Amino acid sequence: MLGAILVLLHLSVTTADYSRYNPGWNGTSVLFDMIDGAGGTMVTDPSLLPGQGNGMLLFVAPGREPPDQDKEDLRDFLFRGNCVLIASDREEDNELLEGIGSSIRIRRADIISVDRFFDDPSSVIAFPTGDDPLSSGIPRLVGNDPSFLEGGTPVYATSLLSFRDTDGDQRLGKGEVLERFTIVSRETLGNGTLYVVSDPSIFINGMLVANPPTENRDFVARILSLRPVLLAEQNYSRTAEGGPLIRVINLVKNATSIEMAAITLSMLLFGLFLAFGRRDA
Amino acid sequence: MMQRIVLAAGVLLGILCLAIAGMHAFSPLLYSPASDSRATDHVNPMALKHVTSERSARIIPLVADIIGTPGSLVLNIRSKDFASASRDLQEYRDSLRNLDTLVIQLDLDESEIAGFRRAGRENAQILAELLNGTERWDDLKALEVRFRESGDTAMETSIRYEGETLKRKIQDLYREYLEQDDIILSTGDKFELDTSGHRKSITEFREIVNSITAGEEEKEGTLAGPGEIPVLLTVAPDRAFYGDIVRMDGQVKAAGSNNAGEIAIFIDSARNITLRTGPDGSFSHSYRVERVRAGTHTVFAVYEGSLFSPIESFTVEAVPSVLQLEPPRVQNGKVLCQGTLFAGSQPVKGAPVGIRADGKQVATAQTKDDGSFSAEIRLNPATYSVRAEFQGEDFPLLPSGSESYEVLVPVPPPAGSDEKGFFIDPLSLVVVSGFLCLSGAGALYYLRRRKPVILPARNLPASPEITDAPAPVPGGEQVSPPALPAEMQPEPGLTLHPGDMRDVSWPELFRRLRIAVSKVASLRYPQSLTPREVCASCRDTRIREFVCRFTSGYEKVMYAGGGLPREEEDRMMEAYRAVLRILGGKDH
Repeated sequence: MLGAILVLLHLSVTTADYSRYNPGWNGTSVLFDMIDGAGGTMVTDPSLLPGQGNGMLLFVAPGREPPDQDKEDLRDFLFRGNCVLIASDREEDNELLEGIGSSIRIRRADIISVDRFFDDPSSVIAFPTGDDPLSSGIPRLVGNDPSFLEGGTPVYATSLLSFRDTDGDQRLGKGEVLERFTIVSRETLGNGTLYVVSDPSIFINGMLVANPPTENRDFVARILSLRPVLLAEQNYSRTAEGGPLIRVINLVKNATSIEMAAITLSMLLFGLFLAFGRRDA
Repeated sequence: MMQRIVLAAGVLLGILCLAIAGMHAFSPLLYSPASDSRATDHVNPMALKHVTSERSARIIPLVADIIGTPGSLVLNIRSKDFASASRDLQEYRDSLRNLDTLVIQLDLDESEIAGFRRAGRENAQILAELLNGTERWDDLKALEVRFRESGDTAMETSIRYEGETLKRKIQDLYREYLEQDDIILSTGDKFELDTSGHRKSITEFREIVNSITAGEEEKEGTLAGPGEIPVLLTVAPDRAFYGDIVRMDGQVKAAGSNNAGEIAIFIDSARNITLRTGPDGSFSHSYRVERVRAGTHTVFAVYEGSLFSPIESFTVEAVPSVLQLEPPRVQNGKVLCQGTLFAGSQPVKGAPVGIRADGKQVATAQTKDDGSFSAEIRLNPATYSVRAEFQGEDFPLLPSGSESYEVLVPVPPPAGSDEKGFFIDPLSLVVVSGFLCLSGAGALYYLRRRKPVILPARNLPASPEITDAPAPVPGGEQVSPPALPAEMQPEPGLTLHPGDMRDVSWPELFRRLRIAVSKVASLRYPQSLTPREVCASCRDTRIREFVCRFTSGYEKVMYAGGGLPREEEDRMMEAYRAVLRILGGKDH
């Protein structure tokens, strides 16, 4: 029985990057615990997004590209006065941004800054660049190998002592220019607000729990409390990755009624096993 | 059936666990953050060390200071507050020094910041010369008035010539200052800093130049004019580069038949050489352009301290320098750096070349006549990135740097590993000898203590009172032990005759007892057993109580030191006899 429980526990987790079922440093289980704690709802069908304009949809690390109809639904949700936050460091996701009518574009680059939190070039500190409800009172945000953004209104940007490491030597060389890079940008679309974060890694467990800059957790908490209705995209986001078995196991773990049924069934099976075992003996 | 399945599953799981563990047998650390430090998109923060953050907050204020300080500095020079100007200059230099350190620490020596730093250093040099020049200018004005009033025309002329040279130099400084303008302002704009201080310094600098020029224009006619030149001087070429020869030829045209005499040639108001003119008053000097700043330089000649030539000038242009460093060699813990410095095909001599290890200057070498340099540096064991740098200061040469080399300075072998040194060192020999003597003394002491104790002869009781002996044996009966294996046969004289126990030592009795017991307990090597082991080996036998009583007393005799009371000795002897009786009974 103990072995079976251990096997089930083992099968209920994964090591996939950004997966909510990954409790390791590169998963987002902590983020989704926070979302659960904030009463968030998982959304798998954009056509079912609510109509009112008081929602925040969190779309962390898009994976598959949504079809046009789903982009259209997202766009409608945004234009109705809601808020959408997309966190991605891949240029492929510019099609998603374009599809929902945004002018913000993600540019993949190895950004290195003299302002870093950890002793590694991937650790880049971004600073607030103006007044925004997302950044007020949070003096910095620590990125983990971020890309940068073009367009929109910068919300967080690196200091001027940052550069694109074009030759990969992790130091400022000839032809590499010091400049400021936008890490979080904002754009008003219709009645809604789109935030784009060029580094989904700020949401991974390692950046929220282990020796972290506390501002990152504050930033996530601010996102989760920005609007009364909190939603998390779970169809196209890589945070939903984990395979069918993990989904089934976590469905059982997370749904109370199913959980109760599963426990009853296990107890029944265990009782039967004992009864037949005794008769055999 | 079910049990078999469960058993099979358990066995399979066990094999699986062993296989997994076996895969990690050669790297026993199953997990650490460092072994799982990177994924495609991010780095594991748990494997990273926190460092000082927001280092730009230290650089930007320094850049702001370097841009802003010259405003007040030049204003103080213009208003003749030279003490305040000196303080400003010191602050400016301090800021530059701090910026240098940060640029090296943050590995920004190839950024615009590095260009800004070079421009700042150039400006610091210019402003220092402006400060000195302006102070000297004021002194010259006062001296000129004094010599004019005293009627010392020779000195007055000399002062005016120096003043003219100084004026040209300050004009040159202004031009050089403007050359740094672009990079200073562009850096200020980029960092969104207030550049009004620098702009103000340019305005004030221009005012200083204007005031000097305006004051001298009205006197220019009083300098030696073409019609009354007592000393002719020509300087050629008017443009020169590092290593070129500038010819300075002239002739004294003073009245009189013999114009032979001493003539001094001044470059930038400093006496460069004193020559003897020919009988016709001609003179010639070849000046080699080496350690002189790029820019315009003034030349005039003074015959016998009283006759002045017109002021001539030539311009030295800066050219690129080429610095080459050979791959550094590590010898006896020192790093040998050798290389050459050239300007085109000309070797640069007497130039300082800085050697940097990981960005930090660790040595300065001087170039020789052939442009070569060499420096031996002692570095701590580590790997360094070593390169050479030439800043070009005081030379009409542009700065240059060599290629970087990775140099490994190995950890030196420990000093004590040299065997020769060990034998040569008398202290080592004394210490080793001392240890040997102590060991020998200890061994001797142990051997002496180990000698068996011979107990005095004692009268044994005729008939022991053994109440619990299960099989009483008549006293004096010979014990006939069963046959022993060949290797365990007791030596002659070890047969167990109770009557032989007189004058036998305790160790001998114990030895006999041990052999006797070994036959009961089937012990293979009875001679290796301790008293307690002999006692323990008799567990579950009838002789246990007597054997243990004997061995207990024996331990007290042998290990506790000192003798036993008579009653105790008697009890031991009784126990010994009882063992012999039992072993000699009907069961054996």
